Amino acid sequence: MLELTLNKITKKYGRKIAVDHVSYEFRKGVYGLLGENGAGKTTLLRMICGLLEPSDGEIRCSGDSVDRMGAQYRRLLGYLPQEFGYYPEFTARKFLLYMAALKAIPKELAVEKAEELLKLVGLEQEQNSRLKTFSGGMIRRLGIAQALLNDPEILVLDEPTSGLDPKERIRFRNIISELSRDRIILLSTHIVSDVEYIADEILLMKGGELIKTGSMEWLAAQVRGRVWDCCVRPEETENYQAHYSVSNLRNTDHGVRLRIVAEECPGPGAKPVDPDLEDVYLYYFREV
Amino acid sequence: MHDRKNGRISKSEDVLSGLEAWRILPEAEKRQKAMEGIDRKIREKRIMYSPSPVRLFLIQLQYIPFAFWLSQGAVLVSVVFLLCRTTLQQGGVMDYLWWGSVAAAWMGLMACGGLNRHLARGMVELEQSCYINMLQLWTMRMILSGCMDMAILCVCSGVAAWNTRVRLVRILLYLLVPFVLSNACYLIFLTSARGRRTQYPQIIIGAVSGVMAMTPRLFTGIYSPDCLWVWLILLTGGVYLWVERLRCCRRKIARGEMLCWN
Repeated sequence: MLELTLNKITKKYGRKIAVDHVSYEFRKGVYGLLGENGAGKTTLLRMICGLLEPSDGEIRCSGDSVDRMGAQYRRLLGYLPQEFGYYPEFTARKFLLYMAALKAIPKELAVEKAEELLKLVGLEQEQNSRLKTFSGGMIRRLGIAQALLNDPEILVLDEPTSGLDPKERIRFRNIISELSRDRIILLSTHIVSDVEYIADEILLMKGGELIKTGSMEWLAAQVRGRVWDCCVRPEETENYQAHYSVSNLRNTDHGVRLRIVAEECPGPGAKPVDPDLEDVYLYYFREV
Repeated sequence: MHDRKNGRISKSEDVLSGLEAWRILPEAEKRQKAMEGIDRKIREKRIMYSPSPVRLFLIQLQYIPFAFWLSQGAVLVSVVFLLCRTTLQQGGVMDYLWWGSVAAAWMGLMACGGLNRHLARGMVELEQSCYINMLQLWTMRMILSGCMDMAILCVCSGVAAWNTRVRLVRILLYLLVPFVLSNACYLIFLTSARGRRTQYPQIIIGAVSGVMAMTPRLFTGIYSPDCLWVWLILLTGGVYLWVERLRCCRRKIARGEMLCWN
């Protein structure tokens, strides 16, 4: 059974601690890593992929240290970096074949796999176009395709949906859901809706630490009774925003409808409502 | 022998029943479960393809950019042209060394300059996460390029030595110094400069190295046999610096500093 274990992983850059004693055990499933910019998500993912050496702690894959596994670990890995580079003179097909060669996939299989993945991400028509002619969204889709080339057992995606339009986002979510049956998928994002529907476990990261982990339902249960819906006069809106974390604001005929995350009832007429992941996020990441 | 009739079984029957008791007869259900387990393990087992070093080398050759071959070709053509011209003009050793040093400085730069392409295109992070990682790619490229450059330098030195009656080892030493030092300069830039993800440092360092390679001519007698020790010191220092920077570069790539920071 595939297991990826983080054992007190720490990364320091001089005095700054980017990742602080993170311990976690990943088994098969989709894990959503949520956090603000600068929370340490990318640093953590880079350490998981063996790109950055932890200052302290250890990462183990099914009991073996990934440092010692070296290339054998890398061949289990599919990775999409946040800043996805490419060679502009390559065509989409050539790029995938190049990546397949680096992933030690036999050529015949690579050709087959490249065609299959180009179709999956909707780039089969552009397979012979040079990458310098591609839009940001197309490059991102190609990035997702290359990460899947070796049918990875550990798939690490850093901000996979940035630059994708809503339709592409949905397509991506469906691809990830289909893949999630027999592998570890770890995706980092600050876009809550990316992980809300597909993640089995959500990991909230703040200041280099995992502050909360659990299923969507469990996290929502922690915040139940702390999310309120109320309708206020337009002139009161500013006051509410100054005192509470407002997760949604909508103008209606009767006034302004606010969705507030607060420990106590924010005012008369406010009713508790069921929290969603955005409320959970706001609850844990609000400025207190 | 026991007697069955007297209420006792015979010795042979005793042995047989004993053996029967020791024979492991698997229960059908347990056996089915075990077989399913084995079958599952077989299906889970990934068949891994491990390319041979030759195959790795061929993969590397296949994806070397056209610009690399073009630049290597340009150097080769230039060297052959200058070699023929100097020979036809019956030039002296200084004439060979004048352009030979500049060409050697440029060749040295190309030997390790492949890394810059990966850095400039932002591909290092992705490539380092693959089975054949960045370090291996770069090493193979350096070996390939280095061997080609050394072959060119050897031919060049051989022709110059033949035509000028100067010892081959001496000419090779004069040419190896700019070759190694330009290599080291480039690695110093890569390991210490910020903003190294730019496309043109190679050209800048190449131009500087080229000019530097021409400066020994300003010192009279520097190419004389009496000053060979200076060249030996320069070569030893250059090799030391090159190896030390190469190790530093390797360490920075392995630790991720070079891949993830600009």
